[in-house]
Amino acid sequence: MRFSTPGQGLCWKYCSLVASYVVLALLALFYLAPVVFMMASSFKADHRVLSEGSSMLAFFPADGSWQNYLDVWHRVNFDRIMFNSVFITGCIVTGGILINSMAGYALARLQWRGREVVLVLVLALLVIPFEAIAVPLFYQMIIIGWRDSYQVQILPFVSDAFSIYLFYNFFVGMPKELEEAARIDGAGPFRTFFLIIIPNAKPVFASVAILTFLMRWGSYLWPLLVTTGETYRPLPVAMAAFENQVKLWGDIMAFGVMMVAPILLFFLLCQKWFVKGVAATGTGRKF
Amino acid sequence: MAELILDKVSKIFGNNRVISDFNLKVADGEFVVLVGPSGCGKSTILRMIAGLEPLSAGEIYINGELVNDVPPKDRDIAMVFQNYSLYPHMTVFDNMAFSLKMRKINRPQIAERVHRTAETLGLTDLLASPSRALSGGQQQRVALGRAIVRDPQLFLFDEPLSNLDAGLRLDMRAELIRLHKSLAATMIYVTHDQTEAMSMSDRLVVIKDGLIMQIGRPLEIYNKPANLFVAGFIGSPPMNFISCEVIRQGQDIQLCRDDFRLTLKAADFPALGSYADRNRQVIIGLRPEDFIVAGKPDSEVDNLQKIDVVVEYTEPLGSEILATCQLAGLPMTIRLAPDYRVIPGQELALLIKIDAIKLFDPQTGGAL
Repeated sequence: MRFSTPGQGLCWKYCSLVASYVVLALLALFYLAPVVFMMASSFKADHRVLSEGSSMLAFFPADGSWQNYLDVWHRVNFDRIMFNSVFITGCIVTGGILINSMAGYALARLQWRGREVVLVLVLALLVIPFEAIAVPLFYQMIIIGWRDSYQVQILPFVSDAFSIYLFYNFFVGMPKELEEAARIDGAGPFRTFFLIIIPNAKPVFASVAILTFLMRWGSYLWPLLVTTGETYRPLPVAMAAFENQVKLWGDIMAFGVMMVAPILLFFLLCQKWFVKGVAATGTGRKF
Repeated sequence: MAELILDKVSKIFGNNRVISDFNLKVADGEFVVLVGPSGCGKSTILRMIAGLEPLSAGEIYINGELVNDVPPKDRDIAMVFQNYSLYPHMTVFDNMAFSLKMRKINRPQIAERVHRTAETLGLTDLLASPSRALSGGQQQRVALGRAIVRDPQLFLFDEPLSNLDAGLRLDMRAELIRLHKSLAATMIYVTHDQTEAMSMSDRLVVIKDGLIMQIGRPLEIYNKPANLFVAGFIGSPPMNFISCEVIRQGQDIQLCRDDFRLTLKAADFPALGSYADRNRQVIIGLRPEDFIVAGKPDSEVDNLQKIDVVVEYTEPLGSEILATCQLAGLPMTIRLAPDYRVIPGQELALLIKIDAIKLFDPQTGGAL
């Protein structure tokens, strides 16, 4: 049997550390490149975006001009579109964490007839892609007469099987004695939920809020189906329409940055909660 | 303070009957300990008293009022859980005040009651601390405080000391005894630790598989166990058991196993006569302190019988030595004085206190 000397062991440790950093740096570059390209291009005139696209210059904002941003601002009703996105996403996130957390809690903790069946149904819903139900849902919305409205973009997404599952998973793992102590102390189910459970479930609430926000902020297919004009249109659909109209890459990139900036800012602010939440819910699912 | 009555209480989980016809009457101000091995159903009984678990059959009365369908909050009870179950996001003050707030007691009164309780338990300096930042012992004190502050009729303790280290457990045990004396409250305490049970209770309820094995005062149970289970469960180290043949020899009865012989006067143990006549076996129960080393001053007492054993190993505990010996092919634990010199392999002449021996029927397990 051969044994390595302490020196060899140390060398191996450093080499593997350097190799890991190199791999991670390359991965980071791979993911960052499109974002940097978009940001750099948003400050360039249209012809330079295309001419520099195949060189390293593509990643450097040579002009440093805000003209593209001003163009976007003048060409589209950006504040309305931004409001639509914020309002729709905000309603879905707020309503979602309230409704789904209560559903998750009821499934995890309360005893009622048919609980197991509902739980299985919720789990079954996880595997059905939205695209599969988009057309019948669209048809249903037309019948109700909700096309071109906020509610058509909000209500179908407030209740979400994956969010319920995340909450269920978290609540199942919470010590039962906490609720029992609250019951003996005189708190009913609602007070127990709002005064005891929610304050101790912040990570999962943050996690569900962030995941829902990310999913809904970039939502494209459904808003495209149910909106016809700018009035109720959210950012992704507005950007696609803008691209068809202007065909100017600098402007399109500026629009992209304006759309992505809030989400990046939101993520940076909530990064701690996001990591905690993913760890707490024991899931690494990506959207 | 309250009187508690459990009348033919049963609990069935699916097809599993965990509690069967459980009857218990706890007097006002009494400290009753439910003791038994893990899974015997003692915590389930406590949870049914608390109203956290519905009954499958039977009735529970608190102060004469049937409480089967009364929700936990209206039973006027307080419960201390094994894992303390403090609200982690609240301060010590808020934890203690929570139940009072739920009862809509006014703020000055809440503050007064919380401070008074905190003072009793030495928690005043911790009132502003977040409960999750406390040590195990401090958390247990807060859990106690949370129970006391409500001034309930009935205190329920579900193995509250089992998460504490040995030293803290002793302190808290003393604290609970003191508390019971000062509050004169009715307390039901669940534990699997028989030392805890013996030292704290006014009365012990020994439970096995959801059935009451024996109810009585701690020393009564220790000295007169009703059956093999109680005899083996209560006492540390546990009682030694020897299964023996019963042979009648004139006026005497001889209990034999291999080369072990114990001669008893038939008149002193009348129950053994029928065993000898029907050629049935009995089980002898001997506590570790029922042996005396021959030649020691204690050995002058009457009614002793000599046996020889070989010491296998010893456990010096400071206050005493526990020696495990071989007797008739069985391991026996005996209690020796701390200054007694004994080494493994040594032959020891022991005297058995005949008056202390317990006899059990091997089939029913009942005491004779």
